[in-house]
Amino acid sequence: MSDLTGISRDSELNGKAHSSGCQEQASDFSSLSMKNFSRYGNIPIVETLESDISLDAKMTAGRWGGGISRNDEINSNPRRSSSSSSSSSSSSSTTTTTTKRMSRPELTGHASLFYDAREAKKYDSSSRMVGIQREITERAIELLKLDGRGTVDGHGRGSFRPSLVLDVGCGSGLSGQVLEEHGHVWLGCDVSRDMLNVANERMEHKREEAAAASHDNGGGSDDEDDEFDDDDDQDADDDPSMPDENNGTRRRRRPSPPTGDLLHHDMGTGLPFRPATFDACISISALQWLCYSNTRDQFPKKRLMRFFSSLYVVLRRGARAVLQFYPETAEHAILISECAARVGFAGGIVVDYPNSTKAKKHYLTTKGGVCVADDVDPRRAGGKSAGGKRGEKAPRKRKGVGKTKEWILHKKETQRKKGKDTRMDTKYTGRKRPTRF
Amino acid sequence: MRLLTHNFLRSNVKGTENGYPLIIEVTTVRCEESPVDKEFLLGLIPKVDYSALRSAVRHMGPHCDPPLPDLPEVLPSAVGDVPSLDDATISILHRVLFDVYLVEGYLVCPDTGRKFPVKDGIPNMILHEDEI
Repeated sequence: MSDLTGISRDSELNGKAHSSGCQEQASDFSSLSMKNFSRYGNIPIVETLESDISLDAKMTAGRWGGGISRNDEINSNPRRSSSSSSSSSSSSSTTTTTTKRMSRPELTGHASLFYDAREAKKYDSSSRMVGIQREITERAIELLKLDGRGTVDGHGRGSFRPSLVLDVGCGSGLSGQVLEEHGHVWLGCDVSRDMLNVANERMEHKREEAAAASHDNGGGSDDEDDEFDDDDDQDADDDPSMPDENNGTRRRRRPSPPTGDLLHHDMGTGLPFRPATFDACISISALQWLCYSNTRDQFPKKRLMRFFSSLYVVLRRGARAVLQFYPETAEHAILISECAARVGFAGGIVVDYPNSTKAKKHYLTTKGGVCVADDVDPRRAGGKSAGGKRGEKAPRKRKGVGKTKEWILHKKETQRKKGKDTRMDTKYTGRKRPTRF
Repeated sequence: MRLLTHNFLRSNVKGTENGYPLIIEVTTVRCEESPVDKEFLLGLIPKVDYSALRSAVRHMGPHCDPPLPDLPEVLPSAVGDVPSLDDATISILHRVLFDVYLVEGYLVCPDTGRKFPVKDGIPNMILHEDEI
């Protein structure tokens, strides 16, 4: 419960500013439908409200301490606030401003320079960030829809079956841990060696733990487990309604060796894997790094394209990728989604908490080949249905064509209706000029 | 790094055609034990490049304690969607794929000879901008 203390402090600061606003928002949205559709480039966007998030809403409310703080807290890019030592003061000042004002580590330079040994340690030990990362990962896994219902493996089996998941930008392995709890096998890659070292230490730890437990016949393993990573276990115990209880609890109760593996790699240079390897891909708060160029020879678009095209190849046919990111501006979100669409991914951006500046989360949910989002209505997604073919352009209209006599008459009519000074219609209207001119 | 990861890794340095499989130069190897998940393993086998796995085992085998056994030449009916394997083969495959870690050493691109160092079990696949 240590994270609640940090939250309540923040929510006190923000609560005054927000309490009235939140209630208004709540009443506004109750009359609206659950989902709003809008467009970013060619990619449809699904905006979900809090109540729409099926990560058990009660659990969220309980954990984040009521409606007001929920809006404020789940939120805030943990990587952002990590860079500012005075996070409480900055968060109170940013309640009314846009995300642009928040400090962004992406602007300070290369990710591997920002996440040095100190920052990595800090990142991993902050229970608030652990909580946020966990929350996001749970949501991402939910969006992947790859539990044992046979949706992904195509065999239609009822039994649970682990998937091989690629975690791009795994950092200190917080997301990997959640994947493990869900029983999946994962492979993480990150550009920061120091973050990977932290992840490695954690896995080493787990391995020893598992070895010890297997020697002790698993008797006193629960206590040890609680001692070692109490944050996570608390979280895990708090929500009895976790998906796939059978596997999840079994794995949690008896510490099993880690199922992950790590790789030091820059996603902007293309993923170094064989084609059709992974069942799914997640990425938590990492993709926005590709939108910045840290050296002169880095071009964001090129790097994004390289990443997405390699991701497309690396994923199995029909596999999903859920990439959560923090776009600084709308252009970044458009850039990212356009690159994904150009490569051939279908799908859209799911926005959680769209009406909060800080809690807002973007999830690019894509699937190779076929339309991913059963819940996205292609008609409302804006013209081009998801799964539009690559390189297919609408035929360009030729200039001048279309200005027929009917068109001119219609135009004049509308001008007249607007009360503008328009010449009367005669038999000469819309005729060509004589050529002697 | 597990041999499972190695089986999926390929080099994407500029000038590589295939870049697969990466050659393993072993310095240190570690062996662990983990519970066998038969279902998952069977689902995984069609994805694994068996010949690459065999050659990797041949590189890693002598460094392990106890040494890894040689894998059979071909997997029985590996072409079908779910290969039928006996438990002994499954446990060997599991051990090879999940329990053997390359801790220190190098991965070498077969086409260009670019060396990717492996340190503390984490391979460094970072490329410079001029290598892409």
